[in-house]
Parts: sequence; C-alpha cells; structure tokens
Amino acid sequence: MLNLPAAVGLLAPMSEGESSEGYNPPTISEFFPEQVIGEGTFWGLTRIDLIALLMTGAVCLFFISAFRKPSLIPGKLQNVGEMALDVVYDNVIDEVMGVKGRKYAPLLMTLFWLILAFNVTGILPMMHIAVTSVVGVPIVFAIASYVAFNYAGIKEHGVGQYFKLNLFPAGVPKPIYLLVTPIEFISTFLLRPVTLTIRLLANMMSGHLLLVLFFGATSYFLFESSGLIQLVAIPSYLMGLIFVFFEIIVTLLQAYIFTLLTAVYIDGALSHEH
Amino acid sequence: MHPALEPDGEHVAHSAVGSLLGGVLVWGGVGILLDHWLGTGRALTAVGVVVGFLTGFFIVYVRFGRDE
Repeated sequence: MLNLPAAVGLLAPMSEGESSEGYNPPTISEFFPEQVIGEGTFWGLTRIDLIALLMTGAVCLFFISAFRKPSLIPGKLQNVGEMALDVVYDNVIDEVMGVKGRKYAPLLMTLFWLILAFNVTGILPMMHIAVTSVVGVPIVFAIASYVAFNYAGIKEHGVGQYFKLNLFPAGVPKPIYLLVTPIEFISTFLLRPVTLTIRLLANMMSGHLLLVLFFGATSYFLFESSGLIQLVAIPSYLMGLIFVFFEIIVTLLQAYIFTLLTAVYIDGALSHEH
Repeated sequence: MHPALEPDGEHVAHSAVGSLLGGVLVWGGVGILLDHWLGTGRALTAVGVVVGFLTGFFIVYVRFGRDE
C-alpha cells in the first residue's frame, strides 16, 4: 500500500525511546537528535547541523555564482540574484530606513536569506526540520541584530548620548523618568534580543510539531488501527497538508519579520528624536 | 536625504510592543518582590502591573503618538 506521508517525504522520524505500542505524539526530543558524525567529540554534528551546513553552502554558492562576474546586462543567474536582493531592498531597507539603510544591506540580506533558507528546511522533503527550530540558531541571529543596532547607535551618537536618547525620551516630566527609564532599559537592551529569538524559535518549533503530529497520526490511523477508525487518516492527512501550506507562509513571514525588526531597531538607534 | 526616500516612520511602531511588555514585566516584577518582602499578598503586584501598563502606554504615546 502507498505510504502517503512518506511519499511526500514529510513524515519526520519519531522521537527516540518511544514505546512501540499505540500512537506516540512528537516530543521535544525531536529537536535534539543524536550526533551522526564525530559522535562524542566537541565538533560532533547532528543531522540538523548537517542541514545547516548544507543550506549555508547553498546560499553562499547561489550568491557567489550570481555575482561572481557582475555585468551591466545581467545574465540569467545574475538576474535571479538581483531579484533576490530587490526583495530585501524594496520591502525592508528602502521601506524602513530609506537611502541611509543601504550600508546595512549586507547584514539585512544575509539575515533574510539565511533565515529563510534555515526555515524552509522544515518543509523540504528529506530534511523536514527547520534549522531555526534549535535555539542556538535564532540566538546567533538575534545577537547579530543586537550588536548591529547598538553599534549603529553608538557610532552615530556616541555612548553617552545613545543611552540618554534611549533611556530618557524627550518630553517626559523629570519625575516620570523614575517609571519610564527602567522600562526603556529592559525593553530596548534586554527584551529585544529575547523576543527576536523566541518569536523565530517558537514559530518554527510549533510548525514542526504540528506537521509531525498530523502526519504521524495519519500513519498511525492508516497502518496501526483497523476498521472505520482508519478513515480518520483522511482528515488527519488533510490537516497536515493545510499546515504545510501554512508553514510556507510562516517560513517567509518569520524571515521577513526578523529582518524588518532588525532594520527598525537600527533605524531607531540612528534616529535623533527618540 | 532625498525626500522620496524618506521612510515614513510607521514601522517604528513595531517597537511599541517592547515598551508595553517591558512596562508590565518591570513594574509587575517590582510588585511581586515588594509583595514577598512586605507580605502584602497580591496587592502590590496588581498595582505594579497597572502602573507598568499605563507607563508603557505613555512611552508609546510620547515616542510615536505625538505630532501626528
């Protein structure tokens, strides 16, 4: 019989140590697979690490080969490469920061395309886990964003003035600073990297769990149950399919939001009127 | 800057969420600590959350709401 979930390559492997009886819903161990290369060494790699390396290589290879010999009349690959850059120029950089944002293009391009590549592995056959659903990855992106906007602000205003602009917004009566300044400190310097990390991580984790849940259930109803209950596999499979399309949107949206917020933070740090 | 490329600034409001959340976390947190310390039950936590939320709202107004 045709194994529908496996046929579209979306059924993620079941978690380790599961019991063989009955249906096993996905657990958190999905995101902590065993090392497959260099097991036990400090550089040991899991299959998620391998996917990360593969996607990083793919993104690098694409952009390097697209712009290796740039010409005024672009060839096919350069054309596609320019379209890829225009996505970020049009929707993030020009939109949020205007022309002064152009010098942050390398950072924002890298963020958008790398996060997108890392997200999309969640729905790619054979991979079916988003690299960004392992916390270490969004943290690194969030740190890059954090360093970038603070660096931009300090370079523009100097250390003292930068913190003054951020912690003491103009037009507030002095005694109110007692209430306002701690909030501004927490929200700007602590919450921003945390929310960037959690927003991306939680979206990709929950997407993966939903897909495993529905396709795992489909497989269970189809092959391990008998009688009319087998029919439940149909709605379960359809739900899985719907969530695959939903995940395509989430994948794009989360890469966009992360890049947009980084641009907004940098723009805010450069601004003279906080 | 070229006026055509002047950003409209509406995206800055994205960072408003941080101030609203930060307000509740900071002053709600202070409320929890004071409640523990003074043994006042949940009273100061409630006050802290309300004060934090209002202050967060005030910050959003000061930063993004005026002159528009």
